[in-house]
Amino acid sequence: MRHHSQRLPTHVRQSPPGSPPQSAAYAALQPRGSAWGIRAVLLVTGALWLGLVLVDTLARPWQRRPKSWEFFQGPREFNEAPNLSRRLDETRTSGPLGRDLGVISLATPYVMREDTTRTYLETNAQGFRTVASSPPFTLALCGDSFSNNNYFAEALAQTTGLMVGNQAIEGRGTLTIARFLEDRPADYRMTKIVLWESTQRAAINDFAKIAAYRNELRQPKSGSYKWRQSLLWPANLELYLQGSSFSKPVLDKIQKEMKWRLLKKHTDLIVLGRRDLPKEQAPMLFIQADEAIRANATPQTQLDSIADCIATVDHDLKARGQILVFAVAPEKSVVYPDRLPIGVTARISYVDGLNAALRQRGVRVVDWSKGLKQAALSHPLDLYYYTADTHWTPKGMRIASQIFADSLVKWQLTPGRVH
Amino acid sequence: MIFNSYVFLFGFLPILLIIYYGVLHTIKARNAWLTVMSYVFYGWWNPLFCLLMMASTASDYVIGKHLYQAKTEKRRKLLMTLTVIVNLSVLGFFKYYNFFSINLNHLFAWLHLPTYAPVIADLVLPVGISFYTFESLSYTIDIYRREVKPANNIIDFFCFISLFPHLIAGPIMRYVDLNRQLENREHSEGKFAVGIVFFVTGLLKKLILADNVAPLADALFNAKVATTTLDAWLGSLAYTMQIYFDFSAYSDMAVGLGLMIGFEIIQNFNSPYQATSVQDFWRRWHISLSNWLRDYLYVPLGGNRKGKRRTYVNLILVMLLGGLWHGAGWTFIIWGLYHGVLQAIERALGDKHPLKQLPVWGQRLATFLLVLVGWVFFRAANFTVAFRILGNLVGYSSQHGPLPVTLARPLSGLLFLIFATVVSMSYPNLWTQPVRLNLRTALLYGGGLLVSIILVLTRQNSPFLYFQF
Repeated sequence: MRHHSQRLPTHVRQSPPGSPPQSAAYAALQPRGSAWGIRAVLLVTGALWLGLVLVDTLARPWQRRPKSWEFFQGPREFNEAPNLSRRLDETRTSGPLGRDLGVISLATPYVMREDTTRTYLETNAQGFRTVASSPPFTLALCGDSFSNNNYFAEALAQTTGLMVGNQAIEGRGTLTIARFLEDRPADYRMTKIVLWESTQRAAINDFAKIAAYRNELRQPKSGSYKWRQSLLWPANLELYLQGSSFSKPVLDKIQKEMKWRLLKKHTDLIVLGRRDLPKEQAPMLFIQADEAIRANATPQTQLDSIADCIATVDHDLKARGQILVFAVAPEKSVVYPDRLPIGVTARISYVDGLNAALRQRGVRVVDWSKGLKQAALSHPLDLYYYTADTHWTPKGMRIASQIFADSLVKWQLTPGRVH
Repeated sequence: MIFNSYVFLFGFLPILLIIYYGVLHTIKARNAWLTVMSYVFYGWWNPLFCLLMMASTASDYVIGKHLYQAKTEKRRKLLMTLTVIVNLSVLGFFKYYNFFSINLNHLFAWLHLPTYAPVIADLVLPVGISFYTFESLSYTIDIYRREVKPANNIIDFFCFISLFPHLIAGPIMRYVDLNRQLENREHSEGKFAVGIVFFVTGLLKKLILADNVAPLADALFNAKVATTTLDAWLGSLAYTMQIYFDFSAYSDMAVGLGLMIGFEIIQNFNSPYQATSVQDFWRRWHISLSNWLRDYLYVPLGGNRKGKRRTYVNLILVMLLGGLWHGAGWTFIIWGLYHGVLQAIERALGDKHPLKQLPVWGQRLATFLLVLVGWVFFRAANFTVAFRILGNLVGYSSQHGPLPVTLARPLSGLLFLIFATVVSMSYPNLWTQPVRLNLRTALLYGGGLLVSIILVLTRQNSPFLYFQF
């Protein structure tokens, strides 16, 4: 097995016992080619590789780095998202179909009525920003990408009159609530009400992670633990270096484009909404994997399991004198079913089924879906959701915050809606 | 650290090579540098694991020296026993302690006796421990057998054990494979270029083939319910391809990296899915492990020298322990037992074996199917899953359960699965082809490297399957 060395142009010779080599077994180690051929391989691969390494290393000081390396850490992840400006991802909807329709990007006809002005939101070191409120916070907003833009926290502060702190983290929101339970910042010691905004995409697997996150956050803060959490721990350093690499976003775009061109495949398939609408109404894009329109609905058994997870959180918050209010941020297709393509219908079983299961378990629930849908019907010219994005607009946030404020009044948790 | 990671490709490897070729010029300095960097490579998972490997290596180095100098047979045997106990205790504790405790507790509970064996919930298996323990152990056994002299200096020995290309997932090198290369090895442009070809081939095999067929396999083995017969076959075939292209990719990368620093690392795979019998399969699959088991287990047990029955028992026992080496679980033991029994039957029947009556393509296909069935046990989390999948393969599903479900079949996964199956079953492997070093190869592998870097940087990390064993 190790006699291949005898076939190599090397002085190394070994003489171990064993069976003799197969005649053609190690032909690969007897390369064919001239000195130029060898140099061509070394030059092409070496130049490419070292070129990338050099560019990546030299460009690093000019790269906009994440504010905190904690951004890359699982349960201690901080929210960097408010720093990012909202912009269109044209690669998502590029491709031959777009060309057939005569547009650069499929998103183009759908964003004509949308405000796509870039916004840049400054945040504090932890990635949070509050404008209308200041600590101590009486209302904690624990949400996901629907909430992490601070407009929603501002709208809540205005409609409820409470001091609102925003804890939202992009994703499924489950990390947010786990961190709020186990790793609550000092500014939230006086919090009375916790609003848990949860995307309709959050599935049982996401909610099941809460226990693991909480368990990890509960670990004693020993020296070894702190080391593992620090940037000096190799895995953290690797995440940081890769996450802040200059080449990564560039190569990411190349990979997306290659994948689309070669495999016609993208992470999210886009559903083009109806365009034969009255002139004043904006057409919309939807995502095929949205819970409300995908092939399989979430079964009631899973909704019950999700409700159990939420009820556990409710119980633990009650134990420390806080009130949980849970609300599903409905998908665009639920609020705008009339703008889906003909033949596609939006289910409401997730929102209705989960809300019913939660009420049975004594959890306070706010239903945003009906109010938003009603508003969308009454004011077809106003956009409550972005046309080429899955999230709600500041107008949508305003409606949601008003519904929430009304619920607080109904439950006599606040004296009345402010605006 | 894994080979297909940003930090390895953009940090570790460039620094290692620049210092190795640009600054250091003596073989001793280069070996010392490789040792330091190999510990950095290993410690990347958990720096504390380095201490364990250091202690294990140092103990074998010291015992090896004393073993060589021992004057009496009694002392030699004593030292040999000591090294076996030290190595197997470390491996046994980290890899098998919990398995042993859980099963002992089950046994006692079944006998209605109080259970007392504590289970250590957060016991972490140090990466690559099965590989470096076997390498370290082979060193002292070879000295005991007087087949090799102990290492001249401690740096060379530490370098042999920790040498990063083969440290985590093999090939399992013996000291005799590397000792002369540690003292003197040639570095040439040709060798480096062949190393690049091997390394890039390995990267592409892992990132394009293994990672793309993996979702089909995961869908089947993670399914909680019975699947259609077609899905059972697709999922099992996908895992059969995934494990081959994953593990052989790692070996190719190890060989390539070894050549870049002047080492010639042994071949670990020789087109195993073209084997014409199960015995032939094991001469082609994970060759370094098969040879280790043969030299240090099968032969000492008596091999085929103590009669037919004993030969069959030895074959089965060696394969069973080989299964256990892969993981502390009953499914691995049954997988090993299955291969042992198949080999014993082949040996017992000789030319009368039904397989031998088939044409060569038939022998290959039948062997492939037998191996595929074995992988079901190897991959399944437990016997319930394994037997459910085996039932589904022949169209059986429980009468009382829900109807068999159809799994997602992504087109890209299916295309790569067909490609991987055709290539692995009918094409010669890289080792049998003389590498042609010319501009065409340069452009081909330059493109391959670029595609690999794009995939590495834009995907989630996907560790190699054999890291867990």
